[in-house]
Amino acid sequence: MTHPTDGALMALVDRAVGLEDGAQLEAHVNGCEQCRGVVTWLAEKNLLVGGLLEELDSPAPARSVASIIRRAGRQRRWRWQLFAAAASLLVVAIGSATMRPDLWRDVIRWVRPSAPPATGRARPAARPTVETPTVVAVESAGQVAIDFAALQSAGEILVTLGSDTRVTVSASGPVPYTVSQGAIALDNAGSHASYRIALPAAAERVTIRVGGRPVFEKRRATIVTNASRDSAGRYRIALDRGEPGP
Amino acid sequence: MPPLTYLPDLPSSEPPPAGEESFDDGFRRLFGDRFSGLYRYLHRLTGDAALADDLAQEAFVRLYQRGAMPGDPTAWLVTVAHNLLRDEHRRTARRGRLLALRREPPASMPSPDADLLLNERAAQVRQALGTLSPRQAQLLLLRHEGHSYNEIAAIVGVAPGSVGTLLVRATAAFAAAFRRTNDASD
Repeated sequence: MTHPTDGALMALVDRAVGLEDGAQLEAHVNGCEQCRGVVTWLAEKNLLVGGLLEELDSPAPARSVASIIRRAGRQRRWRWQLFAAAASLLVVAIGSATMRPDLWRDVIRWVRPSAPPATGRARPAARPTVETPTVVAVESAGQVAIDFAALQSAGEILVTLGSDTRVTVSASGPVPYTVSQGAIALDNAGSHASYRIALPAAAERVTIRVGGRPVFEKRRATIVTNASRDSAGRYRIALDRGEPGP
Repeated sequence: MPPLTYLPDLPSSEPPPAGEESFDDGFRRLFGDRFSGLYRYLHRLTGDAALADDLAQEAFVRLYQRGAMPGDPTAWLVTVAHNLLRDEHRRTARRGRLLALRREPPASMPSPDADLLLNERAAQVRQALGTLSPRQAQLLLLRHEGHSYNEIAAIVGVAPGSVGTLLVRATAAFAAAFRRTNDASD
């Protein structure tokens, strides 16, 4: 004879089974001494547990629906105030970014360096290339070094001094480069490109090297180079032979 | 022993069919029917009257803010109260509050001796409850608060068919724990 599980008998005691299942269980229990014993035990324990749990009770506080609705309203108002404050902050941020874009550039520069540090492990193929009109720029906060890896069979470097605060390098052809804090290194071996370098007149110190040799140096207001200077005031450095160093 | 006559446990008052009652009316009816029970369940579970009151109110606040009745509002309220209780425990890190031993003054003012006996018995019950797993305690308390097996299954996250078996184990464990506690205090 298959007896119902204790769980099924508990459901019977708790009157938590459907009418049909309940009737079947009831028929079995009425004819089975063993299951009737289990049902009696469960019913007694249920009574005992129910009575014991009542020992923990204290009267429920008197609460009204109105107090719940008022509390919900207070929370909603508080959320709206929080939302309004966040929206106001956003408007101020967008407004200041629109009217003073340099402010945010300063903030971003303060949070993050203007150029990622060179790891030295990057593969040459992954490096970006200087291409006209692409411009490589670094902030001329202190010292800047521009290194051309090698002489070229053709091409030249034109250096100008201006009021811009950044050092910019543009090339007439694709040249791989890496930028680190205060330094630009161009892997120009085998290239025929020419380059324009714009330096801030206020830069403290700028050094341009070709194949490791200095060809141009700016120390505050002093320019040290053997490069020729054209009528527009640009320093012209030939890359096919390399100008003699300063 | 007289033969059993099976009568399924039917709800004392059937809620009106969906669509025939506005949310506000349904909310008011549910609050009247269930606030005391939810408070009592949470008070038994936590042993903290102020916390139980706050959690029960907040669960109803969340339902009101929801603006629509869930499929099983009673199970929904208990589940929200459980989540709020978990958040509360995380926030305050007041360990041992759940099922902790706590003495509270009864509503009426019995004699000092009766007061002592009541508190002693309540402490033994709470101690026995504290020996159960949180799920066993919830199962036991939910059932003795009158929740259906389907509601208990939804709240605790078990199959409805396993609620009976889990309740047998929880009941036996609680009865044994209370007997041990009672014997130790005698």
